[in-house]
Amino acid sequence: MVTWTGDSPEGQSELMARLVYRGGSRSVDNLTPRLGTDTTGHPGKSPGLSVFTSLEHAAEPGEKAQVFDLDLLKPPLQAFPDDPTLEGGEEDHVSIAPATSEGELDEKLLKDWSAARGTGQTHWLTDLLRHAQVQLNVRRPR
Amino acid sequence: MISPNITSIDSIADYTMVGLHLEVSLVAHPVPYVVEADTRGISLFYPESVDWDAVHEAVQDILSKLAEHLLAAVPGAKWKAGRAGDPRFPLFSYQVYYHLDGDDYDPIVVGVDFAREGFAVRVSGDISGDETGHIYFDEDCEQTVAARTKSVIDGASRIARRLASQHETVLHAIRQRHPRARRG
Repeated sequence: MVTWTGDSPEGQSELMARLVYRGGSRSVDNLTPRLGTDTTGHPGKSPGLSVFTSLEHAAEPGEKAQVFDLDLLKPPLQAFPDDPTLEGGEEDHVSIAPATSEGELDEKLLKDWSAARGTGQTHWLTDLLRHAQVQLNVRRPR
Repeated sequence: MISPNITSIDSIADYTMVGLHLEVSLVAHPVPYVVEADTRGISLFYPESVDWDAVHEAVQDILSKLAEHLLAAVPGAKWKAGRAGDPRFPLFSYQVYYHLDGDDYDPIVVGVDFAREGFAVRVSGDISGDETGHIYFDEDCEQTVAARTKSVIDGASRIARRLASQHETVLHAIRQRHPRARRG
């Protein structure tokens, strides 16, 4: 897999997968964070739309997922990888969320984004995320 | 307009492969979407050549019969129609059916998706969980058609009819959650 070098929360450089997988369809709602579940952070895990660096973590055998290229994410969207050394952090989990110009999570904008879920309206951040999609409906082999 | 250095033009059905020397200038209007290029030539796709609004309407018209079936069986069933698209993947036309237990987690999505493949469009459909991607039905729901409005509508309509005929599958899914559609 192609990788890119990003900065960990501690400022240390680490390799991170460039392609990430979001289980499910590419409906408007599935590409919009859920208020509560996705807007609340935990130690080692930032709030945001959950994606995984491997298909195996995003989908069970036979299920489908959507594929995004983190290099194609445009500001303010940013990838926040988990810190697996902390409780709640997962090795393959990444949260996609809006960031401030300083690179910090923009909680207000994230809540604004999640408030659009289920309304029938497409939030502009969902449209922005779509531009980073590189494959659709990839199936995990049975 | 393509100029100069055209070495060959091969046409098969609706498609044209133009053989070119490398380092040629390409001037075209409207601006084409270059989908493939190799040493034999390039394939061009004109985004304007498919009326995606018409395709979406055709799909929704057929899927509305599924909604009618479900509402006849369960008058209070919640559902909605949706559409998504971007320059690379032009259309996903779908309907969402919610579980009858009132929890909006992993509703059932019945949808037809479209992706460009050279001068063609790959049309695929399925009935699946919106968040898990669990597949409830997808038999014989994929085909590749020419990137022309009529061809895309014909292909999409065939697949939409197959999906719309699965009202029992959707009804069962919204009545009784599949183990994969349970939270946690």
